[in-house]
Amino acid sequence: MKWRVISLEEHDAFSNMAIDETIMARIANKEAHPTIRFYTWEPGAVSIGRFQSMADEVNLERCRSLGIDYVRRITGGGAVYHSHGGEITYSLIAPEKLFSKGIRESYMEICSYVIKGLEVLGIHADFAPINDILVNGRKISGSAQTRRQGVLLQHGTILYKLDIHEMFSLLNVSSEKISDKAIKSAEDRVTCVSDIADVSLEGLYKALLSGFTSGIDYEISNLSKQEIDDASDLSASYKSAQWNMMR
Amino acid sequence: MRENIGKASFKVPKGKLITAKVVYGSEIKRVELTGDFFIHPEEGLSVIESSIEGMPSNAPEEDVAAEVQSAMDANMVQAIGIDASSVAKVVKKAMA
Repeated sequence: MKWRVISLEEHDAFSNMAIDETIMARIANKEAHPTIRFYTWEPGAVSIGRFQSMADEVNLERCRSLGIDYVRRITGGGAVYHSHGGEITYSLIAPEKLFSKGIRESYMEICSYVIKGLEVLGIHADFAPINDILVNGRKISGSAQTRRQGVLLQHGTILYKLDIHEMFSLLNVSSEKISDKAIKSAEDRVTCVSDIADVSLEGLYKALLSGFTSGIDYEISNLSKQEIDDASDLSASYKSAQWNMMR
Repeated sequence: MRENIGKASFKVPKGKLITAKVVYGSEIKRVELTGDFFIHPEEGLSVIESSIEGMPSNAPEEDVAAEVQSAMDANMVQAIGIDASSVAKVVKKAMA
């Protein structure tokens, strides 16, 4: 099975989500190889899970004032702040028959590639069901998955740098949670690559690339013109209030 | 009978957070479930919500759970991080 790898790219939130969905559709139509892509977000953005309430989860006023985008994903899971330069997101999009039918098992399989990538940097990480990866008991990566028309999409973030105060200012949390004590507690529960290893964002990307491509037949490629056009059209729906504010 | 609106959240042990917003009178009129859980296929959440709508507001939690489980089974809906019991629990909590 030949895989396609799309090198680290930078897009806005709506394009990033539209590209993932476009690739899913192309693979469902057997018009594209299974694909792994890596990307960052410019401007930074908050993404929420498919079933979350935007108004409940995100401080929209704060996002607008800082120029931070917000978008609903098609995958479940929780709200994530994708700061510009503070993380790398991966997407793995492939026929679901290539992975375990069991969703929990497939999370473990795909997260093992992230763990392999971190190992390249000398970082020992463990999978923590349902969908997290921990280093010394602290979360460094979270993933989310959906399946449509026989195609699996799993995307996830690997934290590179963390500004927990900024994160808390963008996500709606109770007043108790933004107390210093709670922030200290969150800092104890979350970690990031730059706190553990002396590596650049590009170095983290190369390590993740190694982790995801170990033992597979792949070629580095670009999105096709058709994919770029389709994603461009689709991105409008990811900007719409109808989608983002539906819950 | 007047219409009530209730909202409650429940963190499933070793699972995810689920919030229910429920519009109800003598029967459950509308249910909206939100949270960081996973439902496959995505349309499955509407199946779960619809299965509860129309039930008597005073239905026991076990009956609500059974109705949700039945709808999930019939529509091959998989939930990760929540289950029929936690859905029933949070819906009842929203009406308490």
